[in-house]
Amino acid sequence: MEDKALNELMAEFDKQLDSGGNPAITGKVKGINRKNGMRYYFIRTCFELFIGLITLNFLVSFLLNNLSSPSIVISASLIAVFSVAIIFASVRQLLLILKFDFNRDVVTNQSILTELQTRFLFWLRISILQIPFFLVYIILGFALFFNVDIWVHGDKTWLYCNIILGAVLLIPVVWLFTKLTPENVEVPWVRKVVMLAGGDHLIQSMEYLEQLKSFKNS
Amino acid sequence: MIKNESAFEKLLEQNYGIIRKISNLYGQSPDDKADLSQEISIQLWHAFPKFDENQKFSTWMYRIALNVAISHYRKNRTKGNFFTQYDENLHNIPASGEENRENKLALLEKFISELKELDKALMLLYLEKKKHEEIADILGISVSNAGTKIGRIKQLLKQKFDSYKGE
Repeated sequence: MEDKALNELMAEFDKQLDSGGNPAITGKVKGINRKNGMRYYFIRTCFELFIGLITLNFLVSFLLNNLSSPSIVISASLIAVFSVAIIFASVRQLLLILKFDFNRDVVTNQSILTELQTRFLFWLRISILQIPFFLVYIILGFALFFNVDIWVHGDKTWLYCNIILGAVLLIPVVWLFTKLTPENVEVPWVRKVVMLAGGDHLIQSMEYLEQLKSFKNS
Repeated sequence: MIKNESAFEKLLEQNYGIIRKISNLYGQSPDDKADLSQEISIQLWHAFPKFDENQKFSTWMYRIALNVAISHYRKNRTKGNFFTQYDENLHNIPASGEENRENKLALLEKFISELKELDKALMLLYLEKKKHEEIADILGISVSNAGTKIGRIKQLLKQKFDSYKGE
C-alpha cells in the first residue's frame, strides 16, 4: 500500500473515531464520590508495612531476651533480615503510590500501576529465598512454643544434615530468585512457575511491564 | 483561571472530542465506550485542581484520558475483542468502488485494534496531528523515539494491508 493511500484511510478512520454524540456526563461527574483505585494499594501496603514492623519488633525483643543463646540470636537475626527487606519493599511501594499522579505522562503512570499489580512476584521471590533457611524457623519455633533450644538439645547429626541441605539449596534458590523477574517472562519454565503461583493476571502484568520498558527505550 | 465547576465544564465541552476519540478507540462495545467516557471525565474532574495552567489543556487531558483508557482496556480486554466481528466479511476486498473503501477502512480498524495499547495511543496522537514533541511529552518517551515508533507502526500497517491482499 502506498503512503498516500494509507494516510487517506487514516484520516477517514480519524473522522470515524470522532463520530457519536457527547453523553451528558458533565453534570454527573462532580457529584460522584469515586473510590480511588490507589486506595486499595495504599491500604494493602500499609498493612504489609505494619506486619513487617510488628514482626521486626517481636524478633528484636526475642533476640535481646535470648542473647545467651547464639543459635536463637542467629535465627532471629536471619528472619529479621527478611523482615527488613519486606519493610523496605513496602516503603518503596508506598513512595510509588504517593508518586502516582494522573498529571504525569502515560508511561510513568502505567509503569507505577503495573508495578503495583506485580506485587505478588515480590512475595513469591522472597518466599523462595527463605527456603534454604528453613532450619532457623524450626529453631525459633521450638524456642518460642516449647522453650527448647534444639541446637543444644537436638540430634547433632539431624541438625548438621539440615544445615548441609540448606547450604545445597542456597545456590539453586538464589539462581531461581534472580530468574523470576519480568525480564524473563517469556522463558517457558519461568512462565509456568509464575502461572502456577500467581495466575494469568500476574503473567499479563509482567509482560506489560516489559512492554512499557521497551516502549520507553526502543 | 479559576478552577471551578463551570470552568471545568466549559473546558471539557470544548475538548470533548478527545474523550470521544479515546473512548471509541479503547472501548469494546457501546456500553463500554460510555463507561469509559464517564470514567475519563471523573478522573479529569478529580485531577483538575492540579492542572498546571502553563501547559495546554488538551495535552493535560490526553495524559489523563489515555492513562484511564489504557487501564480500563487492560482490565476489560479478557471480556472479548469488539473488532473480531469484522473478520468474516473482510476476506474479499472488491477491486474498486465505495465498498472497497469501506472494507479497507474496516481492515484499518481491525489492524489498529490489534496494536498494543501504547502503540494505539501513539497512533491516536499521530492522527490528531500532534507534533512529535507533544506526543513525547504526553507519553513520556523521547522525541526521536516517538518519530521512530510512528514510522514503524505505519510500516506495520502497510505490511498488514499488503499481506491481507496476498491471502
